[in-house]
Amino acid sequence: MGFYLKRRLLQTIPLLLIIAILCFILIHQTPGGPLSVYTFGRKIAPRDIERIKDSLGLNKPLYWQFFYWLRQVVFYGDLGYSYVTWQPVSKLIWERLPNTVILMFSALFLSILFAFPIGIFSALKKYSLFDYVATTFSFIGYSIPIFWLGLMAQLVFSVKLGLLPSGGVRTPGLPFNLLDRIKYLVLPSFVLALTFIASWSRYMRASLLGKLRENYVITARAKGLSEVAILFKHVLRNALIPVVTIVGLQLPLIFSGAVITETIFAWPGIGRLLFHALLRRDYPLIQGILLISSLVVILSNLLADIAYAYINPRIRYE
Amino acid sequence: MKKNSLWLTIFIITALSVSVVAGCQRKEKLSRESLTEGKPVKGGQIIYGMLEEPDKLDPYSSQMLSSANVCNLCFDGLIKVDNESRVISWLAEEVPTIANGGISEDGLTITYKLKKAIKWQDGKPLTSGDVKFTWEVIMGKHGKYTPVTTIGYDRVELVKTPDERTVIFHLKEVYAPFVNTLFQFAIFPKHLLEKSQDLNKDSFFRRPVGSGPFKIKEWKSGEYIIAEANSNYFLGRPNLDRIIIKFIPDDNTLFTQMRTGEIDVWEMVPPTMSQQAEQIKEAKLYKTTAVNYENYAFNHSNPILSDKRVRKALWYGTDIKTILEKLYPDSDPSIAVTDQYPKSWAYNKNLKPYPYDPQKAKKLLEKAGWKDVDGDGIREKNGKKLTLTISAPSGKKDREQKEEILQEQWRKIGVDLKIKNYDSLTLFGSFEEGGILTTGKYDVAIFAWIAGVDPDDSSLWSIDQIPSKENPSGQNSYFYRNPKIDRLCKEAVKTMNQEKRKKYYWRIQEILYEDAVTIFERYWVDLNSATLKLHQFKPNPTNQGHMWNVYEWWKEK
Repeated sequence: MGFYLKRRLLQTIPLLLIIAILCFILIHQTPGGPLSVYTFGRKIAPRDIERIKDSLGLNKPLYWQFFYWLRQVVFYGDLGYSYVTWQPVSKLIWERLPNTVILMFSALFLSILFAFPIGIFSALKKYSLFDYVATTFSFIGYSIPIFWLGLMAQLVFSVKLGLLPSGGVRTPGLPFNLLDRIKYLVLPSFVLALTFIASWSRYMRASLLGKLRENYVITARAKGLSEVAILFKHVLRNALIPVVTIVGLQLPLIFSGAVITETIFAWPGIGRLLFHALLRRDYPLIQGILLISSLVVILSNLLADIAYAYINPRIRYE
Repeated sequence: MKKNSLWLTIFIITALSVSVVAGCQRKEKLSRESLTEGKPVKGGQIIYGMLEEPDKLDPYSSQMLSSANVCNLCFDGLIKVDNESRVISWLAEEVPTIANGGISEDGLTITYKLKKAIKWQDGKPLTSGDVKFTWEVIMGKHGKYTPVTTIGYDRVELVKTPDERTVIFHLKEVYAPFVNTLFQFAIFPKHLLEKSQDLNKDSFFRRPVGSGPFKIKEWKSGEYIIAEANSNYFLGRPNLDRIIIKFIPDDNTLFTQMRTGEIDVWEMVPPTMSQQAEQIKEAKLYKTTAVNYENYAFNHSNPILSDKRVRKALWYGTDIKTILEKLYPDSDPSIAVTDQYPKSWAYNKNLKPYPYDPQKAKKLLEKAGWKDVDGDGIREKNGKKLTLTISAPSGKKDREQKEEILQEQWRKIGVDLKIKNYDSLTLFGSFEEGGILTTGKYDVAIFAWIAGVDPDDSSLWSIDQIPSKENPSGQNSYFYRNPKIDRLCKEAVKTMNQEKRKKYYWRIQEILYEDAVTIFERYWVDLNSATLKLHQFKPNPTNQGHMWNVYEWWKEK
């Protein structure tokens, strides 16, 4: 396991380098640039433009900009300064990343908490009322766009019922208060989780149904084992393997779904930061966020792989 | 049984969605009286909902309008521009003019006298030295600093501060917009900033200490800014105790929070949501004529459009009234005819909108040699069809609809109009970035400009402002060439005498109108929603921002 981990971690280095190069090329290829914000709709003199370009380092050749950036990152851990706010990129990311991680993991937690039991129960009580309701809702849940669901959730829980705040992460000016924070977390994390509850419960159901037809289940029944024992000792563990794979593969989807959720619920996460950086062509910030978020995704995939080994005794990383 | 349960679920879902929709029924409108009178109540807080978070609280180097707006809390300029677009004195005792002796006869010496007993929020006095320091910062004489523009400030040759309250600027050459546009947003505290090596990266601009009515207490990036009343404010302690600015990046969420009372002010209501905003019972929707004017710009380097008769024909062939009635039935915008704001002293009141007159348009096109020879409804000249392409930033619904209406209207006078839209960064990109407008790769384009407080628009119309390799940041993306306009623009900024300047600008507007440089369409309407409890909220359409008079605001208990 130790060797495997080391190898996987080493692999991330060239991977991140490739990602960094690709990002750099892509963002410089997109039309527009950081200067258009300055130039359009303002009275501005040509020498002002030169001065701004000079202070942003934009008058240097592209390859120079890239290698300078790379050198700063590798040797000094310095992601540079935002073109827009002039704050260190690492500081901007660090302010926002915890919020996104909280949102992502509470959504992940809720998804697993609901999707797995629903899937299991649907499979066991195939074609029951529960199964129909669950099926219908998961189709609806899967096809509803997040932004619409977010709006409806705000309408029902904030406007009509007045139970929950419609956006933000905390009441401004209040000292830290866990209950207050949870109140703000409920709507966005449920909205983000819903799609995954819907799809993962379907996977769980299908996988379990498949396993229930296996010969070893018939053998176990013939031995006279109780249904509960068959389910928990034999079937569930096997049925979880494909589901965990899917969960692992879909982690980046939660991350990208968070961008929309963050915008609707005014959640100050990394997704929103990226969105604004893209609009303003804030190159250092875009580059920094993409690098860090790739790292998060790579690491969470690694986590999924480890969970995989834990569930399935046949898989061992040596 | 199985079938039944399926139907049951469908029924449940339908019932649920119907009840949700029924819940969103219209509320009855309340009548609203004026909210600018009554005796102010002290205390309380206002939560101000904002779509865009400022990049930093520095009005001179920020690229965002929201920054200048929030800076009204913590900073003061020598002057301010009020909600009627008038320049009023703020830290200065008077706006310098030739009449009051603030401007010398030759226009080269400008003297500001500061009001008495102005203090920084840390208790130190604000003096003429701070004004001088602010000028030095902007000109890059104090460590690294990247202001958006140095125009005007760079005309200053020498700054003198004969006493604590007097500052004198000696100019190299006359610059007419000087007092109307410079030192409008902030004076910087010398004692706090003079040691800074790199002002761009200085954390001061995250939590500035200024002279303004509110002190910035906390700024949580992506969430909010909390500002508390400055009891030493030179105009007296503000009525409110606290202002919280919440950043909410989504219009629908702003609307929701306005309904739930999570915010008290919803800044910049999009025109498409004006009806919804109007329905919020506890709030008033403020409608203000904006300084942004929308126009259908002609590319004068296009051989078809370089003919004045064709441009005029297109203007006569455009039924602007119908377009506005169709697209903006609620906000009732006013039609634009020039590049100036209707409330500006320079606005030429004699100019009236071009009437919709398709017959006249047809005649003009005939005269210009465009005739429908083959009878397909589209005119030709020398075997070439009268085909034009119109462009706008994609994703703006009203502009896309507008293009279709124009297509229809211009078709009636025999012009074939094609539509090709771009994302806004591509359309508005700089010359070097290959922007569609600046590189002239368009025929007609829909976009808006801002009518400044000072009427000088030479950057829009002058020949030397046409974007090119030599001048990549030129703003004349109309590619308009008229030496007469050039001369008038230059003369107009050479005098400080407002009456003289007015004559020049009236003439300029007449020429632009007569020449049909562009089809002026309408002024935008600024929509802002605020709780009925908030008094003295006077939205300011200029770049000064809606919080310009925040110290006067008060809230009913």
